[in-house]
Amino acid sequence: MVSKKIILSILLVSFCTSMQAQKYFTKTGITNFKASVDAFEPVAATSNSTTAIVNIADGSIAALLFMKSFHFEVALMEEHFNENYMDSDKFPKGTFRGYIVGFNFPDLSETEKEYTINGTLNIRGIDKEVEAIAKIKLVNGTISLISDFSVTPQDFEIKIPNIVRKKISEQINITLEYEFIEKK
Amino acid sequence: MSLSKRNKGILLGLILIIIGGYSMYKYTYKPHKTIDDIELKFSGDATDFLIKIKENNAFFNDAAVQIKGKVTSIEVQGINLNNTIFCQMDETTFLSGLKVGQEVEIKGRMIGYDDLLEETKLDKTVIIK
Repeated sequence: MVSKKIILSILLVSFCTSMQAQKYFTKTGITNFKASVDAFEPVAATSNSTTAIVNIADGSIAALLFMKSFHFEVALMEEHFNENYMDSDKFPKGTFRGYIVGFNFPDLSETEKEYTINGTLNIRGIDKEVEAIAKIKLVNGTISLISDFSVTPQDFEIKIPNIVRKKISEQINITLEYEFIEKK
Repeated sequence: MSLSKRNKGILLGLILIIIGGYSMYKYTYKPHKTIDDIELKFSGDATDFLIKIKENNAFFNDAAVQIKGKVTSIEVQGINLNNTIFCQMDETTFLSGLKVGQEVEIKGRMIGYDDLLEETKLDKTVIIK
């Protein structure tokens, strides 16, 4: 009886540790967005503190970023972005939860492979299904993921005043560059 | 040299336009806030900070905090204090002199509580000592 319990606890512990080792993460992922219209001042920003986790056992991926970590070249634009467009005090986070379709960790190599990522993006408390093509490779134990997709301001009920409508493009392009390391 | 009334008016108008234009420019292209421009809402020990964060984490969002704590790990772009405070460094700060286990005092901007990794995230961090 006692030995059964010991075996069970050993199994449980090894199971837990193997679960732990199946995650790769980053705290300093780079997320860019661009809503510029040619001929006007660039409307673009970068956040280099995106958190993202990949579970290599099933290919699920989660990401979180704080709106206030977006850095704009023009400080006033950053202020307007947070106060007038994103309501960053009310909705401080943007999140993503999804899956890398057909992900199989042993398949990864130093040569880039294309995968589709499906999931839900949540900005300003509003969910939006997104699909993106991602280039994934594994170099020296680091999973590198590069991807891009676009959304529109209407997707997240972001109102753009008439006066600046011409200066902000209808499509907002988001690009990601994440380097995941193993979570120990 | 005396100016006619009309010329005086034009001169005044020009000066106003220049001042107005300059202040508009200053307003539009004002510099980014540095960590010293942001309101400091906490100063003290990391353990106290973690207790305060648990009570009300939204209160500190976007505020500057000054924390004394122990370096528990050194990562790519930052350090961990007391295991659960991740401090992303200001671009000009170098991590070379730091060691795990060392007591440091830092100042940074709280960006929020990261519920994926269950840690508190700071950026624009500078090391005070």
